[in-house]
Amino acid sequence: MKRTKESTEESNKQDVKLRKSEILADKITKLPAELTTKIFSKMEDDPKTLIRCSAVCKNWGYFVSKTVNLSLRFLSTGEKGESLPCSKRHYHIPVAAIPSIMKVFANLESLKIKLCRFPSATSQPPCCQNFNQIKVEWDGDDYHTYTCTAFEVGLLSSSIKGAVLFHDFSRNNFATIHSFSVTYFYWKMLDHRPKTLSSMVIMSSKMERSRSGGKVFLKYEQLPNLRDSVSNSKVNKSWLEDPQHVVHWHKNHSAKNHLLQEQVWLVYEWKYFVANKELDQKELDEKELSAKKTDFTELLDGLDYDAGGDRIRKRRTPCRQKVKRIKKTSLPHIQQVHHSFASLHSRHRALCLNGSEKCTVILAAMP
Amino acid sequence: MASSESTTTSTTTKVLRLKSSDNEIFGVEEKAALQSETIKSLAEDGYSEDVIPLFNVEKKTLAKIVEWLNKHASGSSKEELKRWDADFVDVDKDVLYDLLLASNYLNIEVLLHQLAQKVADMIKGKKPEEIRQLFGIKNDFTPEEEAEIRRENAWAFE
Repeated sequence: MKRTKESTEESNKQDVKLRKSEILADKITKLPAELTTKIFSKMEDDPKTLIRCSAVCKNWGYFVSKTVNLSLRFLSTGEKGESLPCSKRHYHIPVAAIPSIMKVFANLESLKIKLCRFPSATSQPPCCQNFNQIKVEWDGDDYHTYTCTAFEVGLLSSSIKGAVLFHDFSRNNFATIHSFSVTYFYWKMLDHRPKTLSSMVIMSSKMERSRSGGKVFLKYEQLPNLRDSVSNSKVNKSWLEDPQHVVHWHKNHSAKNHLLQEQVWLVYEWKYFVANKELDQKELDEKELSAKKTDFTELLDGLDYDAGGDRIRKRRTPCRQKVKRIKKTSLPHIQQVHHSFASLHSRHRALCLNGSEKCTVILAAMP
Repeated sequence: MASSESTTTSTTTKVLRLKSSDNEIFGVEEKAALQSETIKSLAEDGYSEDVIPLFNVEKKTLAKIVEWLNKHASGSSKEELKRWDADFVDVDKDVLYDLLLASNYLNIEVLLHQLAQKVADMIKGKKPEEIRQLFGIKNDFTPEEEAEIRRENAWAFE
């Protein structure tokens, strides 16, 4: 079981003495605690191996239970099974394993959930592809939820075709999490999280790159500018480089020709927080909405880089730093969203806060 | 760090002498040796003119460590270092433990991470019984305890 550092070092000294003899057993479990922790920290993205390690011997079981950071990867199947299967070779954890996983890792502080998503065979406009990220931060029993979504809404091309944009840009389409899986995991984890958990990120993982070309990220407010510019055929490189027009332009550096062939993505952020106590009006007024730059860049980077593990972040471009404020969401829509949550989760009451609007939505009868 | 040209000063070529637990002395250029935080603080404590005693590291292990320190101070390209490091950690388990303990004692963060990663890579994809066999670990669970762990997380053992 747990050894004190001294006794571990003592036994290591003995090992040094005995090295030349025939005794060969078990040096690895006698390593100092900080070394064992370091070795196990290299497997934070591999819960399957960690759990196998916990069954090797009691000493390792103890160290595995002390894991603080963990990354889990699930397969996000479409609601009606319409998604294509994940073609990557990495392992997807069965969803039913969540409660037992959380029992093994009872001391987690930070959890990352990646959901492998692949193009739906029957995706409908206005959202060919979309990505979601939910970030939850706990402060005692209170927790705050930040949400960021990105939707592919069209194609921008400097060839004859010009731009193809979807027509329906009502906010209701964007101020929602279109992935059933993301919200499913959100509620599931609220139920099963270890009490030590202080931060969780759920994000949809990158799908196969379906088209060549770069990506242009716009805020909802910037959309009319794009449409005006497109009709006046003014969209060129300098237009896209202007931070007033786009949030971020992820150029496709491999493109040799000078034609623009860019996917247009709409980025939408909002915050709702769900509390198990009712905040009074004053508290609501004082809560400041501030999207965190890092959340936002994480989402964008997720789109471009999150294939296997966490890669090195790309240099931030100045225009990304422009993102400061959260956009309003429409009230009726929030009710709609939370309505669907209610069937999943009956105990929680959601307090939704967005921009200048405030609302409280009771999800279900309180106990 | 400025590259040493013809006008090398005495500080860039200064050699520290490291003494293993079994009294072997290794001369190492200061620039290479100071990658170890432990050696760095010993040198700052005034040992630098003298021999720096490393009581917890045998000569066999210290020779390997010195080899690593020199290579990582040699200005090799990233690609070359990567290949070299892969070869360096490709050793038998006893040497690996010794290197782990020594790099921990000497506080060489980069090497420590490489070695921990090597052990993790050896573990990955193996079953508990294979891991026990590989490292000579004694199973101290009762059959009931082990069955319980396997039952609760059956997916991980498939």
